[in-house]
Amino acid sequence: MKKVKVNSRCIIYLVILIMLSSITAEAQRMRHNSGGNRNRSNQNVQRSNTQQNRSINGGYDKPTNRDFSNANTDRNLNTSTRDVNKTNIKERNPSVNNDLPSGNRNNSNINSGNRNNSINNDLPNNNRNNANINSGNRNVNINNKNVYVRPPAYPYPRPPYHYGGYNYYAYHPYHYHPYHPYYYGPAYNPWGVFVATIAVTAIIVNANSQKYYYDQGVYYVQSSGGYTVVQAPVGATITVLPEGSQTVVVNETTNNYYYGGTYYEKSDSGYTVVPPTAGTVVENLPEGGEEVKIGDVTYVKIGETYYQPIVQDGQNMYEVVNVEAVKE
Amino acid sequence: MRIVYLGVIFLILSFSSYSQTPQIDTVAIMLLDKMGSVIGELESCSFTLNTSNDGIDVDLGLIKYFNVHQVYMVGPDKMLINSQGDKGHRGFWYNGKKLMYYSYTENNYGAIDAPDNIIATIDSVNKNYGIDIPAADFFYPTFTDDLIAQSENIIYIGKSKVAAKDCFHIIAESEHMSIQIWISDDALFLPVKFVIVYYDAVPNVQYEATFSDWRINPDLPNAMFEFSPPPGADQITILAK
Repeated sequence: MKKVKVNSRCIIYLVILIMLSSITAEAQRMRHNSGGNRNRSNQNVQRSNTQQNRSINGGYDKPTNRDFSNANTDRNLNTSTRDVNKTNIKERNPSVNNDLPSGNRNNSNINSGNRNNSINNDLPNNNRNNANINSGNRNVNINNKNVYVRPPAYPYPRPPYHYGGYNYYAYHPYHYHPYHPYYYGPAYNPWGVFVATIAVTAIIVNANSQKYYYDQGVYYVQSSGGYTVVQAPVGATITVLPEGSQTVVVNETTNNYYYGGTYYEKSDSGYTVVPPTAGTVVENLPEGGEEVKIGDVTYVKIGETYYQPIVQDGQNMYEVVNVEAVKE
Repeated sequence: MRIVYLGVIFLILSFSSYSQTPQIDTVAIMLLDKMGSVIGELESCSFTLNTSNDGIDVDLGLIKYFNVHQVYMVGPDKMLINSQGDKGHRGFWYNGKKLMYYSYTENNYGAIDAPDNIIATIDSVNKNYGIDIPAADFFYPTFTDDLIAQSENIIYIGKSKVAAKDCFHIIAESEHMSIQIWISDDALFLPVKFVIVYYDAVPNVQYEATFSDWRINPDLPNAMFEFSPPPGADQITILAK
């Protein structure tokens, strides 16, 4: 019964969201494709160059003769004759389909150098994940198609933030605080960085038929003349968690272990890399991320994951955002 | 000139008949055209816009939000907007090439490539980034035609007083919304206030904006439209829709 109540509440939120999204799209704006009734002579377009160049809007477009074919130009100031009740107002009943595939928006461009390497982790997944990372004087193209956000454990109590055909869900309200990357120590390198050598203690980890080198929470793939740091491949398993890993709560029965933007889950053979779960709250974000303004909200994007700045128990934190495409 | 213009209005009033289905009122169109013509001849302007808009909360119903915008324009390609309100304190600088965004609240900034004139920029950033430039509608050269195209009725209601100013009161309505506009009854016919009521939302939400401090063709230096990031400000990426 409680679940039904929660679901019905979510549906109400969504209905209102859909209604508002169409409203706010022109909230302060009328439609300006214009000219349905316009019957403009060519003479009208002729303005002096001076006026055209200096006017704040290029000059007013006033037709010499408007087409009022549908209009009754006779005025009737007796407004009581007007149908102010607007009985023909459309009752909008938007159909809401919440059963959408997780569509994470994943196009990032990070420049910190100029060198060319190309790494494709071309694993089956529907998410849009194209990262272009120029780092350490090399251009590194990494297609991480194995990254996505796992669905949240519980229904969201608040409507999502809507922007550009996507809904951004979070449990906590948005509370901006600047992105200051956490320093994970000298062994940590952000994704995309090229290094000539790696520590001799690095171990080989296989995941998704690809060989990775792992050292102290960082994953590398071999590239020409060295190694490039990549996002931890989902499915890779390590036996010992990197020092400094933190336990984060995913739901009532599951914890994840978090280190430098990577999430691990306890498995039979050790700790396996898993995608972040929507709603997970973390304290620190690694370097290599960027702040992205999406409408009125500024998220932090680490790899392909969006984090919403929040405050929890008086402390600045970040929540993994669930991004879902709105089905038209 | 003003007397002649008003005379024309009253002449038309005297020829009015008693139609059952008023749709497009020529007096309203004349007033809108006059306002548009004046705006179209401005080479620069500045004004303050006080706005309020409704949000719907499932538990609390309608919630009113307020913002204050200061807008400066120099034709054809300079614009500055300083906004304060529920979305924080924000600024937009347009210099003919880029629209720079800066959040005073968050101390971060971003850049958007922009077209080479104000109207194209207003249109572009609204369509691509959802950025609403305050009172942008009134600066479209086709404002009146656009209003005609989307309205079922455009009626001049009568004289009214708003913020101690004599105004012409016009309403344009369709099945989706009603737009009320108050135009100053003085030599310049500038907009004083407008209210939009959206019928599609239940309850109906409303957007209201009041102009003040109009300055006509002020001498505004180009430097004010150039943005320099304050020390310590973070550059952010602005995601298009």
